[in-house]
This record gives sequence, C-alpha cells and structure tokens, in this order.
Amino acid sequence: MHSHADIDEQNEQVKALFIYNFSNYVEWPNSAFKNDNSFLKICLFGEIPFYPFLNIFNGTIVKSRQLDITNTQNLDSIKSGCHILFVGNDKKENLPDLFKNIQNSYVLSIGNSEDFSNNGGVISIMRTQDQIEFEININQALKNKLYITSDLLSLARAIHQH
Amino acid sequence: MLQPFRNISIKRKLITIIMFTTTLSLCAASITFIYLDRNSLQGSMKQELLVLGTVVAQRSAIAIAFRDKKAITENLNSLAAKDSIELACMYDSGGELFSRYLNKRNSINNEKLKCPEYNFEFEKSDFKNNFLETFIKVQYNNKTTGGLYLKTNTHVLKSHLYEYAKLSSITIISILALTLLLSSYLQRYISHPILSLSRLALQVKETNDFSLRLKRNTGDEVGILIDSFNGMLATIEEAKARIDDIISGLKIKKEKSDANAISADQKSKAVSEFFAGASHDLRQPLHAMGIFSNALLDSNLSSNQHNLATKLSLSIENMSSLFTDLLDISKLDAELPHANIKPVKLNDIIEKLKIDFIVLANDKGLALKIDSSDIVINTDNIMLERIIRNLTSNAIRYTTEGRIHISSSINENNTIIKIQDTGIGIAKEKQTVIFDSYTQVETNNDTGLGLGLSIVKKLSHALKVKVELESELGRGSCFSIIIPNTPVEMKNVEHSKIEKSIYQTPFSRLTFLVIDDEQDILDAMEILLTQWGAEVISASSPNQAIEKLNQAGISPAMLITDYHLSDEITGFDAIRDVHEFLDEEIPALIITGNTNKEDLIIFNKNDQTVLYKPLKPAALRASISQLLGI
Repeated sequence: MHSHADIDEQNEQVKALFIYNFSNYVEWPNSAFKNDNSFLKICLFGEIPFYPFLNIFNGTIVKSRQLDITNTQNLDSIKSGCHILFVGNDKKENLPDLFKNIQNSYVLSIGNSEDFSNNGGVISIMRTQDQIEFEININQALKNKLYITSDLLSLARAIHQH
Repeated sequence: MLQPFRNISIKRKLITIIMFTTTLSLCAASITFIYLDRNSLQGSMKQELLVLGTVVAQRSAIAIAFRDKKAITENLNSLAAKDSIELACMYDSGGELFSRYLNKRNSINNEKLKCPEYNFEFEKSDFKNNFLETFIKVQYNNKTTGGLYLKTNTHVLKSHLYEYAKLSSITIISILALTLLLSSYLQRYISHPILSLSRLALQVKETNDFSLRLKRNTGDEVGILIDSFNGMLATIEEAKARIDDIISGLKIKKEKSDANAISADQKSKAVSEFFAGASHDLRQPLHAMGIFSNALLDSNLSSNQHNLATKLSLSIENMSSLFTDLLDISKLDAELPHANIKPVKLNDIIEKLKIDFIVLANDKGLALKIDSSDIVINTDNIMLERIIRNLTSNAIRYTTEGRIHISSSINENNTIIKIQDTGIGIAKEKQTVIFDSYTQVETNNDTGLGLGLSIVKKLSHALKVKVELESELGRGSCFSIIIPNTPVEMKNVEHSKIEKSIYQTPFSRLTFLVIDDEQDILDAMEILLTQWGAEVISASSPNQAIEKLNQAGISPAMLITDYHLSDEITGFDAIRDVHEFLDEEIPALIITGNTNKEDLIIFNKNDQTVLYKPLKPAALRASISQLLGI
C-alpha cells in the first residue's frame, strides 16, 4: 500500500512528466524562437511542488532545442514570454490580469486546476478519481499560435472550443 | 529393381516412362510453387503485421508517454479486428510491460501467451513455433517512447498451404489422367511399328514363310529397322530359294544314283546268273571235248595229227580253267570256303606250281624262276595254292617278255610270298579295283574275265592273309602274300604227294559203274577209264545200272554218277539205289556241271566227293585214286 504522501509525490512526478511530454508533443512555429539555437523555455510560476522532478530534464534536448527550465515568483521574468508557462496554484487567483500582463503568443499555458483552461489557459492538468488527466482549450491554443497534435488531443479529457 | 520393368511390354514401358516423368515434374513444380507461395505469403503476412503494428504504435506513442492506460488499452483492443493476432504487448520507454491484449476468441492455451522480455534494439519480425512474432518500436518524432509486441497465429498460412496442396493434387491428378489418356493413345506411334515388327518376326519363325514383308509407315529409326528387316527377309528368302534349288537338284541326283546303283546291282546279278548259266550249259560239251581229246592223244596218230591234237587239248584246258574260275566265284559267293588250317611245307605247293606253269611260261618265251623254300606254315594248302596259282597265271598272262619270279621269305611276324613279273603293270588308280569281280586290266591280246584276282581276294580273306600290290605301269607288278606267322607242329606236316605223272594203267582189273543220262559223256568216260585199264559198266539211269549189274553179276569197285539225271533223279538217288542193290557202300563220285548254290550246299553237307565239269582227266584220276586208296 502506498502512503498518502507517496501518492502525492507520485502525482507530482506525473505532473512533471506531463509538462515534459507537452514540450515534446506540442508544435511551436520557428517564429516562436529568436534563432535556431534559442532554448525552449519552460517557466514555472509560483509555488511548484514538482519542480525538482521536472528540473531533471533541464538542459536536455527536445526537438533539437535545449530545455531551459526556470521556477520564478517574479512576474517580470515571465513577461517577455515562455514556451511553456505553468502557473502554480498560488498564482491563479487573478488569471485574467496575469494573461493581460504577459506576452501570450507562443505560450502554452498550463494550470493545475479545472477552470484554468476556461480562464485564458490552454491546458488544465487535474486529478480525477484514479489518475491525472488534462483538458485542452484548443481555441486558446490557436489564439496563442500553437499547434497541438491530434494524438495529444485524443488523450485530453475535454476539449474546449469556445 | 528395374528387372520387372525390363520385362513389361513396350507400350507399358512408354506409358510408365511418360507417367513417371510427368508425375515427377508436376510434383517438383508444385513443391516449388508451394514453397514460393509460402514464402511470399509469409512475407506479406510480416508486412501486414508490421504496418498494423506501426499504426497502433504511432497512435500510442503519445499515450504511452502520458502513461494513458485507457488510450493504450483502446488502441490495443483495436487489434481485435485482426483475428489472427493472439497477443499484443505494449511496453513503456523504460521497457516495463504497460498493457496487454489477449484475443479471447481464440481458445489457445493462455500459458503460451506471455509477453516476452523487452528487447527492442531493432525491429524484427520472425516465424517461431507456428507463430509470427513482431517487435515494433513506439516512436514519436524519432523519439522512442515504448515498444509493441505482436504474436500472430499462422492458421491462415496453414489453411492457405492446405488449400494450395489440395488444388495442386487435384491439378496433378487431372493432368496425369489426361497424360495417361494422351500417352495411351499416342504411344502407338512408337510401339505399333515395333510390335508389328516383332509379330512379323514371330510369324516368320512359326510359318517359315520368308516372303512376308512389313509395310513401313514411319521415317524414324524404327522405319529404318523395318527396312533392314525386310531386306534381311529378302536375303534369307533368296538364299532359301537357292538352297531349295540345290536340295532338289541333289534329290534328283540321289534318285538317279540310287537307280544307277540298283541297275548296277541288277547287272551284277544278271552277269553272275549269266556266267553260272553259261558255265553249266558249256560245261557238258566241254567235258566231253576234254575226254575225247585226251583219248585222241592216246591213240595212234601221225606226228602232224598229234601236234594238232595237242593244241586242241591245250585250248580245251584253257577254256576249262576259265570255267573253273567261274565256278570258284560262284562257290565263294556262297561263302562255302572253310579254311582247313594245317602245317604245310611251302615248297610242296611251289613244286606243284612249277610243273603246271613251266610249260605255259616257256610257250610265251618267258623265264619262270621259282625259288625253293624250306618254310613251313599253318594254312589251307589248297586255298593258298589257288591264290599263288591265280597270281602266277595272271603274271604269265599279262607279261609278254621278261620273267616271272616266285620267291618266299620269312621275317619276325610274317611269311611273305612274292610273285613278280615284268609285265604291263597296273595304273595307280586301277590298283584298288582290280580285286573286284569282272575287272580286267585292259590288254589287246588275251582273254580272261578278270575273276582271278577276285578269287584271290576272297580266299585271302578266308585265310586271313594279306595280299599287297606294288606296280608301275609298263614296268611290271609285284604281288606279295603276307601270311602271319603262327607256331607250327612239325610232326603233323603232311607230305602232299606230287601227282604221279604217268601211270599207264592205274586202275587195271577194276570195274567202274558209270551213270549219266547223256550218251556222249558215257562214251567219253568209258574210253577214258578203259585207257586207264579199267572195266566199265555204263548206264543212263539207276534202274538201267541195277539191271546191268544184275546181268553181269559183278560188284563194281566204284560208282561214278552224274548229278542231274533225267526225271529229276539225282546222283544221290543213284548212289542210294546202287548201295541198296549191292548191299555194300562202295565209294561213289558225283560229277556235276551245276554250280548253283543250293546244290553246292547239299554236297558239302553230305560230305560227298564231287567233281565239276568240265572234268580234267588228271583230276578224275586223282579223285578215284583217293577214294579207292591207291
């Protein structure tokens, strides 16, 4: 039997894996990068429990680009734009403001709650009864000029199209 | 193994060969096709599974990255569309088994269906234990996120192979049936000419008919064979015809020669009969002539008359000797001679011959040299004398000048008596035939029937002596009598008496009874016997003789009778009657001119002294002396 703490830790690990996988299965156009050598930036904003797990991938190559994983509390450091922005639970109260204040193009925003994808986010990762699932707001993804493969879409629990 | 095959008919051989090779090639083709088909089927099956697996793997690439069990399970379950897939296993990027699909419709022992250890260094697809195992990497953007393993049953392959084999078998069987039908029909183009050839050969053998021919209707080697066979038959037929001709020619020749042989035999018989008849017919008058001429010589004649009478007497002598020869041949043909072997002084015989031949030789102006001899041999003196006499007589006959030499010698094994002459000689080719009857060496000036050597041959055969001839034409001949030596008992040597030359009256005061149905003979006999000092009672029949004896009242010393008396009365009857009348068995002498074999046999049987006509006075006198013991 797994202890409660164990399950929490496992969930955090899965979340980290999800974030990493998204870097693999979401398409960014070349214009999302300054040049060929630019990093694929993953910004973790706020309090992020799985950061240690995800940080293992820092510096690894995904789609011939190096991953640059940072964890910050500072809004300014994410304003210029990240390729993947994970918003921690502690930073999600004022989401519309947040999205207004940052550059949203080419940003795959991921949240940890169910309504994240309904409030300007692209992907919501959440926990159902027995497993971790995710939702995709495809309109938001298109708005953010991202292309999400159908395979990934097929895995999503719900696809929002407003 | 091929032995039974060798003995079957050509037709079957051909069909067997065709069927065998057809079956073999069809099977080989079928096996090749089945093999190729199986390979291509396996290849396409691999390809199919690879494509299917790859599709599933691609669809599952992200799901496995997100560890979405539900999505993976769904993906794997989609494989159920492919009935042959028994097992599908999905592994995550760490090689751990993530999800498994099991085909529940197939009731294969689940024990066998376990997912293997992850080993996806490269993708592969292999047939193993009636299953196809396919390993596929699950990749997204060249990034391996896991692995897929598929285990597929090969029922399709098997059923396909089975179908193919079934179809092949049906095809092969129907092709073979067709082949059998066609080859049964077509083989006759090969087998028929051969069969008809063999039938013809058999027919020729059975019927001996070489005129049979086979019609050629093929241009192949069999056609050539038929031509050759026909040619051979023609050659044989020709040769047979020639042989038949030769045989029939030979048959005709044989018939001719048989006929010739028969006619020769008949001729020989006719000649024999003729001589026998002639000797009988001529004997009577000759006999009388001899007696008369002797009587004439003994009477008072002038010297001129005496000379003529002497010549007449000599001629009669010659003639008489010829008849004697004829008679001898008849006698010898009856196989009468039985050699009476006893020790004989050769000189006695030779001395006797000297007396007989010296005058004859002198007459022809020939020298006769006879060497005296003290050799004693076992032989029949009469037969041997006859042999020497005949040879000597021939020698004188065929010699016109020179000499005759009779000599004798003895060596280890044989006594040899040689009669050599300087006569005309005998050609080589004639030397073998002269011993046959009636063969005479051709001469211009002398007579003779050529019987002398024939008698010599027969006598020498009876005596078991050999007569050899050496001769050169124109230079003379030499006959050698070769007598094998046998031990001689000297005490038995018979001193054969040299005939006493002249007794004026040897039988004086003796009475002779003479019976003959011919008056001439009776007269001649009476004159002759009277000259020898005897008294003669002559009669023409036994009855007359008994009558005369009765009248005279005397008993005669001896009876001399002819054999064939009138009324079928024989000399034996006369002798019996006289003996009965006198009641005394006086010596009797039969004189006969008959030389037929039956009579000769009778005389021999009765141990009767017989003299043959023409009768020589000397012989008569000698016989009388012998019978009377004087």
